[in-house]
Amino acid sequence: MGTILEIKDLNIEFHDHSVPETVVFDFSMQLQEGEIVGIVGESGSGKTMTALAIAGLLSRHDITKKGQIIFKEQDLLICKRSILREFQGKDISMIFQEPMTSLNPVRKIGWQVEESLRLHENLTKEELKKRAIDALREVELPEPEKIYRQYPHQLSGGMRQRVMIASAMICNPKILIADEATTALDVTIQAQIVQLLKRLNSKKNTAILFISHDLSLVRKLCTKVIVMQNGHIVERGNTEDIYQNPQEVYTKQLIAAIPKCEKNFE
Amino acid sequence: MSEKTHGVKTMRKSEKEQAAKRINYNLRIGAVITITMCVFILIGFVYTPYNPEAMDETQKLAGISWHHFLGCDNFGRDIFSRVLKGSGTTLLVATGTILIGTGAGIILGALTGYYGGWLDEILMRINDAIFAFPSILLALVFISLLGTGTVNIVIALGIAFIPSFARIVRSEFLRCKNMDYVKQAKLIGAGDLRIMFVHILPNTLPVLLSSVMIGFNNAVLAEAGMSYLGIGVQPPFASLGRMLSEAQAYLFTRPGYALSIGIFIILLVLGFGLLGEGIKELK
Ligand SMILES: Nc1ncnc2c1ncn2[C@@H]1O[C@H](COP(=O)(O)OP(=O)(O)OP(=O)(O)O)[C@@H](O)[C@H]1O
Ligand SMILES: [Mg+2]
Repeated sequence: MGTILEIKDLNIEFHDHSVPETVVFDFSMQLQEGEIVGIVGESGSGKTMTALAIAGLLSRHDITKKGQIIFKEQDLLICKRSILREFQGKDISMIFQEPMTSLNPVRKIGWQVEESLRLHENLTKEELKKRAIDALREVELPEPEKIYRQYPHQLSGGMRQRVMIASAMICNPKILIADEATTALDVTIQAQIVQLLKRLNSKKNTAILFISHDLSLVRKLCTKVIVMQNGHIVERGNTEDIYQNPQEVYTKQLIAAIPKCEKNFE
Repeated sequence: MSEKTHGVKTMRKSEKEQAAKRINYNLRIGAVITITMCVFILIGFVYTPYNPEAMDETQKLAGISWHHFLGCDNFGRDIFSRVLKGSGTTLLVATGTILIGTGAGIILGALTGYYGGWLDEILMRINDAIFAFPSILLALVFISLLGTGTVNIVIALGIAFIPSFARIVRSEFLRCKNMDYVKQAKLIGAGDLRIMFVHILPNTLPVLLSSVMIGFNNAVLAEAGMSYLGIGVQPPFASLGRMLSEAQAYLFTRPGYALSIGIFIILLVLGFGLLGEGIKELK
């Protein structure tokens, strides 16, 4: 297992107010091939900003980024946009919290799932369709041929999130970033999606960066966990170590906040 | 699958039922009128009962008869044939105008709405300045620069129509560009042009289409107005506006002449107007 992503001293600073505001301080981490790492922390702790920086979506001129994000010997923060776009969707994918709005309302599901293939690989129409239907089947959607021809409004939230995962995974990326990917779903479906991510991870060896509020889900899925507060990393380590034996007060509070009934869940 | 929760299902059903109850009369009536008119006009391109330019001394200002449905004009030309041909000309001018106006409007609106910044500032201030003039006045200016003629009137009206379309497209792009699905498209490495024209543009279609219909109306009326003033389509070609100006001399002796032309203009405009409203209701 080698390191595929290395983040060194990432700082993210906003300049759209009179005083610059730093929202992420000296964030460093390494992601190994095929590993699942969780990032937890309260609202506003900078999880999404970190994820967007890795995915290359923080290109606004009023945001300053310092540090390095090394992927395939390229620093994603300073490399050319064309190189970054090569990686986006093909090697690094991301799914968001809102499955209801992440799909284009006027395009068919099939078209949207195919889109990253269309951008990154030269395939014929039939090959595209076959890959898209395979991808839909892989995320355990019933009747993938039918869903291929449907529009987003015809699907439920859980189904849409599966579609999002299918389109994120269709190019077999090295890294999948899931930012609160289960938060908008109900509890049983959350568990199903987590199971699905786990299966995809072991089948395709995709490393997953799983961002969540929900510590019980993180515990089920992740081998390592990073705890963030106000833009700082307060604690990190193997998931079980941290759950059994948290060092920091903040981590203890987070763990204490897990509802007790979660213990008999599953 | 447990994912299909009951609440979502019943809500969707009732929405569908509601939509079915509200019959979209605008769309239906508009479509019927427009299709009928278009069929007439298309027939007029290949067949008219008489040569619309042929003069018949013996039929000068003839009344309505079996031979001449709408009578004849002061030169003895068959009015029905001329109206068919003339609506065709008017429709072509309006189509050309809309093509230029929407084409340039979409490009300008997409660029300014999507990128924003100084490009947006400059282009939109110019746009505002042009928009401040009534489009017919602007077209008059262009005509005086380009000279009269059917092609020139299309160019002039087309340019005059760009600002209003650019505005509509720009506001739609402003609305769409921060949507999650655009973020998603960026995320998988789609280029700006692809995001603009493949991902966002189809989402602006309902609004765009209904404003195209309204623009179409304005173009029909503008052509009629300019030809009426004598700076549009030139004789011997027929266009509805031209014929209206010819007909006004006989308003009292042959009211049917002006009336039949007016009715054609109204039907054209009404059909497209209702279609536009109907499309807006579809959403
Ligand atoms: N445009 C902006 N200007 C200034 N600060 C911003 C801006 N956008 C976000 N922030 C700040 O960045 C910080 C981190 O936000 P981020 O979205 O990363 O939090 P998060 O950990 O993902 O929270 P949540 O769990 O609610 O998703 C927040 O404190 C927020 O106030
Ligand atoms: Mg967040």
